[in-house]
Amino acid sequence: MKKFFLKVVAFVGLALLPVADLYAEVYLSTEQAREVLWQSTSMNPVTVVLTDEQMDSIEDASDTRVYNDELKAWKTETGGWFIIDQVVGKHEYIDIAVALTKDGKVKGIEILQYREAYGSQVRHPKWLAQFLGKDHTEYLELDEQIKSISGATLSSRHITEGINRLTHTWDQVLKHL
Amino acid sequence: MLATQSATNHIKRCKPLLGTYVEVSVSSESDDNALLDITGYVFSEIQRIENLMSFHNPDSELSYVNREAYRHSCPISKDMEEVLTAALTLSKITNGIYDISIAPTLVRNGLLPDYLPNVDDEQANWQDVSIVNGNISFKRKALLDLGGIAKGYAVDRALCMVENLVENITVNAGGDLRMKEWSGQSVGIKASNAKGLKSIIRTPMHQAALATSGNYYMDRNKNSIIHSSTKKAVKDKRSVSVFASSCMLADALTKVAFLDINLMPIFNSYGAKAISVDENGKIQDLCEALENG
Repeated sequence: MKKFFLKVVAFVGLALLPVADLYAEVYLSTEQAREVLWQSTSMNPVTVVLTDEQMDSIEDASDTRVYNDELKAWKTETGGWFIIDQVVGKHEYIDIAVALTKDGKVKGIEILQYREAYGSQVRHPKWLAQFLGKDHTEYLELDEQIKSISGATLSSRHITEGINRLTHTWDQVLKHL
Repeated sequence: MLATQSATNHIKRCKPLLGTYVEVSVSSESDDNALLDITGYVFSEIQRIENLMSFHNPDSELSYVNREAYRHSCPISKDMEEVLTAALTLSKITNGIYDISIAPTLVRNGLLPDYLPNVDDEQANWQDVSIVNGNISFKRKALLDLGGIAKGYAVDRALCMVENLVENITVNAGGDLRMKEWSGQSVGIKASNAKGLKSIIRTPMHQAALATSGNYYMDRNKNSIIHSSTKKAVKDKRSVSVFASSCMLADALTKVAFLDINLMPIFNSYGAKAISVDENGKIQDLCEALENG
């Protein structure tokens, strides 16, 4: 497995030196997201492995890249779905939880982890992809005193694309399961 | 062992709303479920404001105004009236440097969708917008965009709705944020150098709200801050951050600070503070910069 080293954040006075590589923010756990999106509705894990044809077909229909052939999904007793997925953008790499109704409509979205590249690394999806599956404790921590970050507004259109990909995945695969 | 009742509990939650990532963090003695409910109210309120003020949504109240207000006077919601009145007041004070009728240029530049009536860039400005007794009308064909103010308003509304239920709360809509207990807190401000590499600069909170504008997430040649008289995009490498008592004000004033440093005296009258962060991460107080020439 590829090893990677995270640099140390150093502060000089009020200024942070631009050495941080990847900033990660952790939000709800999978369990909390499930509780928020589906409350006590019971659900069972479903193994979903997309074939090459299905991946191509979803890419065509949604006009978005399909990176993973495996889908982390649960089917609820009411025929709905709870899906954990990743969205890769130009600047951000995000874990999301999505609830789809039995008709394939989006019932809710929660962001579980948000990661954004800083500093000297190339902000390329492939570079970000190496963090797939890493525990958040391996990421760089910002100064504890910084609870919030302000900056130019980053569009969440990659989430929109990711959700579009998942609703097409439902249409082509999940609704037949 | 007995559980300590005074233990403070935290929840940080994030959803895609207002076209960006909206983060809500709350702390209180309540349990996780209560905090999840409270963050739920915050997101619902933000969604409500988005449904009213989105330019991208053809069914929003703003789209209705853009379609109809030239033809006849249209009744508007209290929320819309508050935001538009604040925007028009700022236009008046800045002699039109801040102008929400810049939308046709943003449509032409591909930054806003093109489904509303065609309006020339030069056709109308803020002075053609009139609000009387909760009704709006345009003297000339116009398109309004609230992209530079409504996000801040949504943050304010959502925070004020629940702040009495929690010890502390921060609502951060893609960099436009407001804190309940802000005194003594620090925030990080994103900076970007000439090569597009980002860093985070730490600075103390000076007011309850903070908003930042910059071009570093934009594609080349697509800048969202437009000069109202020249209709040209501002290609500034700096980012500008404004601290103010409300997030709506901070959001709107970042555009003013970006467009004309000579308007800094306005910031004093609003009790706001503007700083810029340059490509090397150096912070400059813009009011002091104006005084020192």
